[in-house]
Amino acid sequence: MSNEPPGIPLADVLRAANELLSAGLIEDYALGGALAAIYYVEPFTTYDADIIFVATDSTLSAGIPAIYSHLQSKGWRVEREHLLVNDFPVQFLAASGLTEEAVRNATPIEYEGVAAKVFRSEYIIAIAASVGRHKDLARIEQLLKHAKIEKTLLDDILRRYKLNLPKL
Amino acid sequence: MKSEMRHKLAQLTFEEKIRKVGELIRLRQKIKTAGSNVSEEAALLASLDKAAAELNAGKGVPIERVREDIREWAKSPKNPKK
Repeated sequence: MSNEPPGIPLADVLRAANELLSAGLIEDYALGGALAAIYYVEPFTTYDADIIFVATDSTLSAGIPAIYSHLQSKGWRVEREHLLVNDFPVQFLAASGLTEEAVRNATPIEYEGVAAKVFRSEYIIAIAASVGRHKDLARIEQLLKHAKIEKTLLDDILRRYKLNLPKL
Repeated sequence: MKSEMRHKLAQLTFEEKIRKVGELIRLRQKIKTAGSNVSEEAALLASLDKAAAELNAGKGVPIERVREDIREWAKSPKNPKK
């Protein structure tokens, strides 16, 4: 038997997010972070999946305890800030402001037969510009080179959130 | 990676890309595991070097020295080597 870890269980992650949606634990969600960028550019190494959700619960905890408890009841494990499915770390992050707008305007996709949504490339660029780490700048460069960008939308997002693209 | 190759990879289906990311993760883990074995070995060698240095600094007596002393004592028990 192979000791190699299984691949990224993204279909399971998206299925679980859809369950949270059906159960009314979240209002909306989209795939964000590195995996969302990979939707548009060449594959690169990443160690987790980011699910950005719009909370139905408006309290400070944004319903995260209920989300954790639901997923744990489905066999997911908790390890620090991550939930693990088949040993693959997933972060559920509550959306607000720019990220909430990114979720609301995300692109519908189908992954291995599972319906989901992924951040539009323009929002990934704007979010990366707002975070500004070295890897975010690299992500912006990759997306500008290889993804189809709607420039008017990107400019509008950048203007409304007072963001600037770095000089590459 | 050449820009042309990156562009080609960017055109793969999302499923294919995710499979490739999985392969990259496995490869990194293999390299990391191999690296950790090397560093474990290096750590062991370093601890042996440290122990030897401590012995040489008088914090202990090397086993070879003990054996040599015992041999000396066996030959002339009245004048043990100091």
